[in-house]
Amino acid sequence: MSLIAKNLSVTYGTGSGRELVALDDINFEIARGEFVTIIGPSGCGKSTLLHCLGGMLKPSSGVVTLDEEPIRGPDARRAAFVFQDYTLLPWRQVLQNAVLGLRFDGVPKAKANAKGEEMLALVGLSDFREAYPRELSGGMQQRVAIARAMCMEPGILLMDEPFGALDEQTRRQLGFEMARMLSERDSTVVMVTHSLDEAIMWADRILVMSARPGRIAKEIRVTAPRPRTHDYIATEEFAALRSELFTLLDQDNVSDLAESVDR
Amino acid sequence: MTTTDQSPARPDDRGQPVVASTPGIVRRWHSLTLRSQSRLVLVLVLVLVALVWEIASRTGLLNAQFVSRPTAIVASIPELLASETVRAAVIATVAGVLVAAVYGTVIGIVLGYVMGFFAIIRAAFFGPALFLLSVPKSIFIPIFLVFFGLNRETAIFYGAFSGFIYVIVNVVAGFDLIREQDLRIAKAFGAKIHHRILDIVFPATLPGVFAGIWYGVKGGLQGILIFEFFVSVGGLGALITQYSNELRTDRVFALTLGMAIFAIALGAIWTAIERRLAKWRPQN
Amino acid sequence: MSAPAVATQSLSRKASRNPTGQRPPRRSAVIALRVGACVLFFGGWLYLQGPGDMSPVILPNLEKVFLELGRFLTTGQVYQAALVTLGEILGALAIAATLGFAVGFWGARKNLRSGVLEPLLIWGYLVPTILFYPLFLLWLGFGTSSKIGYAAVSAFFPIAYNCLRAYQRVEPRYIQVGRAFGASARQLDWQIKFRGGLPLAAAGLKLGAAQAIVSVIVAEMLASSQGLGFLIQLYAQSFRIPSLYAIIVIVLVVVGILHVAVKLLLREDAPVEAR
Ligand SMILES: Nc1ncnc2c1ncn2[C@@H]1O[C@H](COP(=O)(O)OP(=O)(O)OP(=O)(O)O)[C@@H](O)[C@H]1O
Ligand SMILES: [Mg+2]
Repeated sequence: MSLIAKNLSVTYGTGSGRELVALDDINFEIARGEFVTIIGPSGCGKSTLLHCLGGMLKPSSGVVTLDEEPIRGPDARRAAFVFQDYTLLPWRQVLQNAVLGLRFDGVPKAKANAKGEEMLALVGLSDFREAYPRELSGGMQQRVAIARAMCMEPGILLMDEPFGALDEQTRRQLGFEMARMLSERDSTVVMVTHSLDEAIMWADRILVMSARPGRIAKEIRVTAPRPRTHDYIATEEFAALRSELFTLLDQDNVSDLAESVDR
Repeated sequence: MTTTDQSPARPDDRGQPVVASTPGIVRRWHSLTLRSQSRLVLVLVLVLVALVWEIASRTGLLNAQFVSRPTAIVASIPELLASETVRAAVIATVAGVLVAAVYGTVIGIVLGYVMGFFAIIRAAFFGPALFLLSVPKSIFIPIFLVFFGLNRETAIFYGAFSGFIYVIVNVVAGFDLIREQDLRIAKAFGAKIHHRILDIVFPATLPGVFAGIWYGVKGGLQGILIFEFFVSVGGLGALITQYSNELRTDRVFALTLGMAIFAIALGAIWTAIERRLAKWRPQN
Repeated sequence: MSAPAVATQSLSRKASRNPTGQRPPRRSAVIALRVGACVLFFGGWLYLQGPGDMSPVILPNLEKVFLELGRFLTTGQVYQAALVTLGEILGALAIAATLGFAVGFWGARKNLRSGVLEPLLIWGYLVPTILFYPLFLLWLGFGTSSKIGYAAVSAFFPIAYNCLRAYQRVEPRYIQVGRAFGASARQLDWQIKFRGGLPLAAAGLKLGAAQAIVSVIVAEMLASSQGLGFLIQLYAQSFRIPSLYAIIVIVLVVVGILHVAVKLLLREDAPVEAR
């Protein structure tokens, strides 16, 4: 299995008639079981790219294919989203939000709820199964959104800054839990993040994006075997990757890089 | 350059606890929540108003024939309750309001959803509906009369009419409460059209529908009363007019205040039900 | 307890969301639909008065209605009536706005005051005010003052309630900024609280204006000897059906103009608490 983006471009028409090139000629291939992180400056088109990969957004040109099949629309069994704004339906309790996709898919209630409980336990929210979203903190809501995606047991997990609203500690802990589970399942993951550590820690490969127009400025392989433990942070390899990323993301360098790609 | 000379904090700022020296009633007052304090004062204000009213009426400061007085109003209640005509009038009006509200809300909800679901219909007719909302519905009473005749059914039709525009507008407004991101979730997780209606559209529009039903009832009540004041088709409106012409001000007050309390109670109950059904909504 | 939550009179007309995933409608289609509705309306009318054989006592000859309309526009009677009505509306609104702003602003300054006032004002919202019109007739007589009094009371409640809400919760952030930059109590009152609550208060005034218009016309229809409402009642009672239809059209136009005027005068758009 492989997820391929080919000559992907997205142009938004803005209200005032101007056009905004959010993505410009993106090409990459993601193999089954691979964990890819995407990092780049704010507004460079990361969310846009993720939406295209999941079929939420039709690219202006180019295609996304999964096993040679072009992706035409969303299908949560194939690729489940954790959106950046982690929207939950406010009138559904936590468990009912977690099992949303299963219920949409016609899975019987009891079976769906069992699965939902399991995933809520994973994200540490079993005690809140009957709470309404408004009673949860932002980070807790985000974890429900993660559980909702995991419930689908998707072939591909598309996560847009899934730990954005979490504190360092929870973020790391949840990250390890998920990484373990995802590598056990051999899930393919594409994760947008703005944390350098996160980008390196979980990834087989890092896509570094440049801003306006959004392009892939660089691909970096992380060769250490997954799942990794805390010890990895202390390694020299980690430090080297981190400083490389740091330099890349320095605004000037990113645009320099983009220009060099131009040529 | 200027310097401000700040006076030093007075030493007794953090001095004796104030409570110890205050009398019991003040302490009791301060131990109440703001809510209970407000209620207490509200009751006091109402009692005071009644008292001033009573005194002004008894001393001749106000003409008792025109303003009556609280004791007289209360005293008139038993005779009103005993009267067959009064009972019949109240029943006619209240029943009329309920029927009108049912017509008005059902038609309004259906049309509101049609407008909400079909953007083209909304674009074409929501503006006119808003305009109709803003005009006094009463100007159409004569048209109802020439079409349907001088009888109580016409009052009901008119009551339904004066409610249903409010319902439509509120239901359509409910559609504006549908959040973009909820629709996106539905799409990403494969919601079929019936899921989308039951899980996204219906809950999101529910507050609008609820408000709409309330306005349907209120519009019905207002409409039927106006109709009954305008032409004699019986009911409470006719009765109030009659008592008012006979200068039975005590009875006029008893009936209008009674009806007002009925409306307030209805509104309060409705709000409570709505709160309960929408407990997921963030409190502001 | 609070009044039901969705505002009705202040809705924006912005294009709808599409829960069924449709594209925004095309302008031409919208116009076609509206023209179609008009054709249906007038076509139906002409059919009923011709082949449909409906009595002219119910549905007057369309031509006669237009003739009446022309007569109204060229003689003074209607203008005079409109002037009376307009005067009553303005009088009522002036009273209601003054009292409403005063009560709202005064009430919002102390928690206890607003705690007492809020239920009272909400009750005013919940009760159909028409109930009390006979009392106004009794007290103020058949003339214009009973119309002004009744309409002022009807308009008072939305204005006062929205003012109360407006000044109860001016964005704490603004107040914080004011404090931080050394505003005095009076400056805080006028330059921050008053200004900050203005949009909502203006929205309340808009509702009040709508209420005043409706109330004055109803009041004139029920008992009076002048004004547009009186003319409606007059033609209805004397069965001058074409004149009745024509005067209704005129009232619709006048009300439309008044609403446009209010909208232009109070341009700022703000969320409204209730109604
Ligand atoms: N629906 C839209 N219409 C118009 N322009 C859009 C739309 N969505 C995004 N954009 C524009 O496309 C560009 C990329 O947006 P995108 O949300 O993909 O960025 P991002 O990399 O996810 O940013 P962030 O890290 O802040 O989430 C931005 O410049 C944004 O203004
Ligand atoms: Mg983003």
